[in-house]
Amino acid sequence: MKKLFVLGMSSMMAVGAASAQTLEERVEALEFANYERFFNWSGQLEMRWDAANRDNKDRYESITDPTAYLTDYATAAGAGQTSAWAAADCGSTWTGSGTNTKDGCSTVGADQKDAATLGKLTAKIDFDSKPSDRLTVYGRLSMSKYMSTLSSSGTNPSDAGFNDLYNGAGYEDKGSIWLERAFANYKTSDNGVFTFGRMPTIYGGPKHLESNEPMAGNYPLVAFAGIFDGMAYTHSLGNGHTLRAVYAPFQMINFSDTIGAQYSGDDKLESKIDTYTVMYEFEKKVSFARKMHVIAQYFTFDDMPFAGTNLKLDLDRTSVYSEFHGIGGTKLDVALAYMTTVTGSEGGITGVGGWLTDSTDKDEVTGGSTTVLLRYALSDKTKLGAMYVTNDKEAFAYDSASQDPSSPFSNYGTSTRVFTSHDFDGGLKATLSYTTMQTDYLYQYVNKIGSQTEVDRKLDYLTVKLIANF
Amino acid sequence: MKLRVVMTCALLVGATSVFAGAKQDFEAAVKAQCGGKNVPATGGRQGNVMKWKTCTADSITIEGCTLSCTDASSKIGG
Repeated sequence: MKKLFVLGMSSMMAVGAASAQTLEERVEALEFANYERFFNWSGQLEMRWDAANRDNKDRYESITDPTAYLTDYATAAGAGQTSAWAAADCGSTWTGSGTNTKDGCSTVGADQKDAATLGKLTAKIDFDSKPSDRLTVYGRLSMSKYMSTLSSSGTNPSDAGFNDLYNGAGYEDKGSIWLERAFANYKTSDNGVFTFGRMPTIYGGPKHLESNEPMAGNYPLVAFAGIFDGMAYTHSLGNGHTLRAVYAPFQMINFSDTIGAQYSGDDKLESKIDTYTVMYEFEKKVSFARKMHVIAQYFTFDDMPFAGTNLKLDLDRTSVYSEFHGIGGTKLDVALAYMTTVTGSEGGITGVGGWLTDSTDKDEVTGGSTTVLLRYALSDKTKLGAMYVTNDKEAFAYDSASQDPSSPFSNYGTSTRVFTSHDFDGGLKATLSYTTMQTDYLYQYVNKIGSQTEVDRKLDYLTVKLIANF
Repeated sequence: MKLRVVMTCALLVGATSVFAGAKQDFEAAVKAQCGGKNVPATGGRQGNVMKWKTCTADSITIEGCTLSCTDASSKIGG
């Protein structure tokens, strides 16, 4: 009886509330509810063309496979042919007999000029669900590929280490769909949110300014451009101030025995190391700008092993990223970023070296990176801007999820980019940019390990993008 | 029949409450970013709330008020 009474009262209240609305309001509310339903899908499809020209003044050899490279070197040393080996280009023979090919490296010759036009596709399928007022889940399925790839050669970076940090953003993946992000936010209080999962830490600022989008990733590019799986706690201090702490482990898995340890010689390798991040974020309208957004971040980990070697990496990154929209009531937007890294290396790859050093002893170097971006709104739909990025030769310059032919944020030198974007009616967007990069230094292996060589390499690329939001 | 009426009414109330959350977000954004301007939080597919909520640029100008657009799926903690 009580249940019937409660049900009756609930029905009366519901009918009463509903009848207070006009028919138009009801239709609007239902229409809105259709967009705000329990599970939502949206997405973005991008076609991109890069026309790149590279002018390499000096001959340079980079290692692609240290084991093959050093085995080949040992063979040459045994035959007393190290001079012939050193002079040979990678992939060519060095004994004259035609039987020994210089392996595990690639050579770019002096005054070598290269050019390529690359067509690329990226699709991002976003979903979100809000099963309760406390819980929200976000996810993204991503696919990136070179258009209609008939064949490929060289070392596929997708097969190498660290690829988990950019799944879904690498064009070598030939249409494979990756789960780029999937994370749950749980409100623990009015001011606190606990997050766990695969977090939105790539495509950070200032990348979104070039395509006139909302910020597309929480870690600025200078902070650390990689996808992190882990957990976080975000606390709002009110008035636009936010504090956040993030824990994310790096794992080195032995697929032959996931519980058993991996060894390099007699050294037992860690299977998991911990990365920690603390962030301060401020986002608000201020007296001199329509919006000010600042992200100050400290990121650290110690003793990250390099599989198959006794090489370990300690890394501390401290960065400040800021963007100001509509400065002084004008149509000018500015983004500034500064990052400094302390890179500690211990051990090494025999014959190559350690992180940012040719030494296998314990070593530590400090370097920095500076970014300046200016953008002007020619109209609400058309933006025009320029970006300048410079990285010190001893900075840990890293941008794993970059989709550029070469990223300004991982280049040891200076880069300048001019760009424009236009939003067409109905969800279509186009961008055009021209980038010129001067590379002054290269590291021998993965551009992060081994000896540092001074080079004079110039890379220019013109990029056109068509972006459909749906 | 009664059950269908009750369910329909509940759906309408539920839909209204969902809209109320987004409407409050919109009104808060207008107050924070365009204080003093009166921008109605109109509902429906072509309404101001939906224009702001589905914005894919980094800002949108609605009735003279420029609002920053956000992407909660790109922010840890929403």
